[in-house]
Amino acid sequence: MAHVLGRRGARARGHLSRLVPTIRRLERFARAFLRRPDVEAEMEEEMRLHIELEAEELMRNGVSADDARRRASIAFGGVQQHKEEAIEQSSYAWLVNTRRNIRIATRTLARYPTFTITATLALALAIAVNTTLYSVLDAMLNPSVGARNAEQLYELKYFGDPQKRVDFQEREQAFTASTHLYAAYTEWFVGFVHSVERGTRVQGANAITVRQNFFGALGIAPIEGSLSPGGDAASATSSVVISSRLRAQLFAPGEAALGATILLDGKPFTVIGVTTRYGSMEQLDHDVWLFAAPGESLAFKVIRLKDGVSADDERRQLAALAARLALAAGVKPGDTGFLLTPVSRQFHIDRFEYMLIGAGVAILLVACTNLANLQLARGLTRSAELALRSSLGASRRQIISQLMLESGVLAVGALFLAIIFAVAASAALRALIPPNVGDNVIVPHASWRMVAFAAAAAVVCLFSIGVLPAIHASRVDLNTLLKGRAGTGAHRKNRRTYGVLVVVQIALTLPLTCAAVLASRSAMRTADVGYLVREKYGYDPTPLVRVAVLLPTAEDGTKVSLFDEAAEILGHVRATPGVATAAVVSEARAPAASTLTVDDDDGAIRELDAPLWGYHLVTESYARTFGFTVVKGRDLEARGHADAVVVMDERSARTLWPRSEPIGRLIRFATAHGDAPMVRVEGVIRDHRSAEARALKEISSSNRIGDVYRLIAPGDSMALGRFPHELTVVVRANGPAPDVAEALRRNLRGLSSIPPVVMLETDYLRVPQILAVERFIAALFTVFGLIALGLSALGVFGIVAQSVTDRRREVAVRVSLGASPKSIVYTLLREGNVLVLSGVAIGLLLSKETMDWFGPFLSGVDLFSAPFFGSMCIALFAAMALVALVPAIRATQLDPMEVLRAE
Amino acid sequence: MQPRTDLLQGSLDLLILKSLLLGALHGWGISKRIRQLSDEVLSVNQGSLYPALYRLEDRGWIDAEWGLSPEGRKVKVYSLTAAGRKQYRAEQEQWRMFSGAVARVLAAT
Repeated sequence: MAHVLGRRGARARGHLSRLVPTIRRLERFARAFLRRPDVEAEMEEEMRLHIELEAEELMRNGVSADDARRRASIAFGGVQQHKEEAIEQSSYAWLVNTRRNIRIATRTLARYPTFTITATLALALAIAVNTTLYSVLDAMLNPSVGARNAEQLYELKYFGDPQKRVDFQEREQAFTASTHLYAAYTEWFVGFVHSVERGTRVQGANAITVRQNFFGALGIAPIEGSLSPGGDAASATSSVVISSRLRAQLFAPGEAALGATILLDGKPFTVIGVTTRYGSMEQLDHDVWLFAAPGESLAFKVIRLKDGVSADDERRQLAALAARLALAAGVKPGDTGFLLTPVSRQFHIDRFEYMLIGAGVAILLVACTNLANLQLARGLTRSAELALRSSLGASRRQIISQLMLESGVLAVGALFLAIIFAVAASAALRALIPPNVGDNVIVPHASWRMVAFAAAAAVVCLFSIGVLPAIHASRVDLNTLLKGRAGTGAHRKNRRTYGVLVVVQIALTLPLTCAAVLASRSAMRTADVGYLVREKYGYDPTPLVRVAVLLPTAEDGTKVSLFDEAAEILGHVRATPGVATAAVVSEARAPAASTLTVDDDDGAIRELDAPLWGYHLVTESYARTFGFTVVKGRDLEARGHADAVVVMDERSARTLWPRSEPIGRLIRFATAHGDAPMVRVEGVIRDHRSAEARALKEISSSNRIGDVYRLIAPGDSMALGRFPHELTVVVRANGPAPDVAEALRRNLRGLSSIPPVVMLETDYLRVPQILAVERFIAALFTVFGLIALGLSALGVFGIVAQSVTDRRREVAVRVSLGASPKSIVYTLLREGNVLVLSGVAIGLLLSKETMDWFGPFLSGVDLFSAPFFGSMCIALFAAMALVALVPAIRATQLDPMEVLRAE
Repeated sequence: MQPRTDLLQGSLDLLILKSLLLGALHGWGISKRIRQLSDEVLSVNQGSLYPALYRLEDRGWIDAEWGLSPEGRKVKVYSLTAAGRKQYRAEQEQWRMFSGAVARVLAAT
């Protein structure tokens, strides 16, 4: 035992003795880098002692004190030189050299403060823009999910078995019993809540019905109270969890929500908890969570995988279970199975994000070309210094690494500044993003990935702004320098090189500024009511109020008269002060038949596909209330009700009767042989986009040919169901719409057991949100456009200013020979103008290729309008010419005598 | 006193290691010990001693510690490390081979 321990001890000592030199070496590294003066002072002290000891030895041998000291010093040589030599020979020499070079680079940069500040700011701005955009994408790709270990949560679906041969109950039981398959299992179903009421506050809300273990299974923490209803089934089903957003809408700040009673479609519920609404999971993207009664069937299932079980493992086990069930039911295994999909919404990078990335990268490119340009120009200005260093023995590699180091110092400075900018920009962006846009779409968040991205961007910049100019500037020789001084035009070639970079900048700037102007125009147009009427909705939504009246539910399918219900509602609505006209719309009774029958041009009966049309039951004055223009015939008016009548939009009329007059034609939503009466076309209204279709976001709405509106007849009835039917009342207000909405809210309270939801039509159409989104996009692109424009202007300014510096002598000679200031300005500008024009031409091509991306986000603007692009090109050219004018005019003020004497 | 001879290229490291094998010393002490051991024949270029000392320390062959001399002076004392002993043996072997070869060449008739 002792022997073994001894051996171990020896081994440990061996490890330690190997470690000691490494530790000491690291210590020396650290000291050499961080405390170099101390290291040098020690070296000097040691060497001085050596000289002293040597002198004493000489004195002991009879040499006089002065002579001894002199001889010892001579014998030793230069202390400084030996110190340098000692450092050069050490393994940390590179560290010391780097430190020294960084100091030199910093000093050099400090000598050119304008360049350094401009370059650092420009670079920092470009990196910050990119980093902020990256943080947006990062937030999308790694959304914050409220659930604990959300990657373990999967939605479970059963597929196949169309004949339903596998018994539903058996399948449920088999799965529930297979507890080895999951760590937690819960169910949910889409809720049906239309109105949430508390005191005088009524809200529309989307709800979801969940099992009692729902929040526990998903691992969601409450903000307030509890998310799990205790007690018996009755108290559980009358409990409700609300989102923090709904809490803020229903309760005043500081007011207790827990234990409060709220009415959901008129029924009382007690708030037991408040939680956060997360857009990243469908089940959590709600305002109200209701609890299902035990035994109530909920269609959607969520399972949490056991720790260490992968989705593939789980799928294999589920496939085995499905096969067992299928075999027992006599179904071919493989035809049925369980589908496992992650609950976290999978975001994909959409066109908008690509557009943002494109804009960010373009800005980075503009900034980099700009800085490369500035570096190049500065390198040329420094050609004298570089040539001198070269002639003193500095290798090209040393000159390049010194210039690169300067770029590196710039990039590091810019990186720090950029991270500060990016964090600030992310915070500003979060504050500026309209709430509905921010539902996990473009909310930036700060993360280590953001810092890593910024660092990567800085490295890219370092190489792009450092390498090319450094290589270029290192190609110096005294001959070129002398020629350059002599004003022989040797610098013309150099100017051409950085001229190319100016072209690139302007080419990238044009699409960005065009996008900025287009986005601003789009935002302005959306705010314009005339535009909303003419192009977006077909009517002016501002004076309209929309009321959703919910009819009571009935399990037995009791029928009520639609005509009577509509008349009663309208009676109440019209009695409200400020109401000009009102109409009821029912979408509840869809035509039973999928066929539309019309009498054709030649009087024959023709059948068409009914789903191609939107079919609405409305009360009189429908078109008038909305403000639709009746182009033929007349609006639906209350009449003897003897014959039912319809109005339709122009597109429908054109399609159904392309060659004849539609007024008076007959139509019915049933087959030709059905017994439903044909109804007469009473009027044609101007085409508009169906607000209902837009609100429902129906994909099919874009495939619809048009809409047909039939007057509600006394015989029209509707069966009440398990879920409340909704009748919509559209009200045109005489005065301010919000006041009328408030009056309607008060007046209609007693109309039905469920309080009606009253909202402004503009809110219903989400006009403020659309406007906010457009304004946001416009602001974003305006910032991008301005940054790009500013950087390009800087580039043009730089090249002309450089050109003026290079050609001082030439200008002086011209002035002394009698050239007018105008001709000098013209000569200097000519060079810049060619570059700007080339940049504009390439930019135009780029714009043509990229403008398509903007289409879906801009409304009411022509993306390819020739006059617009023409004027943008002229404006950009003019702006750049104006910028170039400043150094050009300054050149005319040169004193030729002074310049020539100095040269 | 015999005339002092400059050191052969590459032999300084070996001589420093050998001087320290006999005991820890400060810089001047090392140069003195080389002179004494070679009967005043070998003279270390005093300035080049220090770059060599730092280099050896850097490679982990010798160790340096600030301390006080018997006269009470603050001195940097160098001592040989285990790695240094190993290196000494290797360099000594190389030197023997080299000097033997040179001797054989010179002895040839």
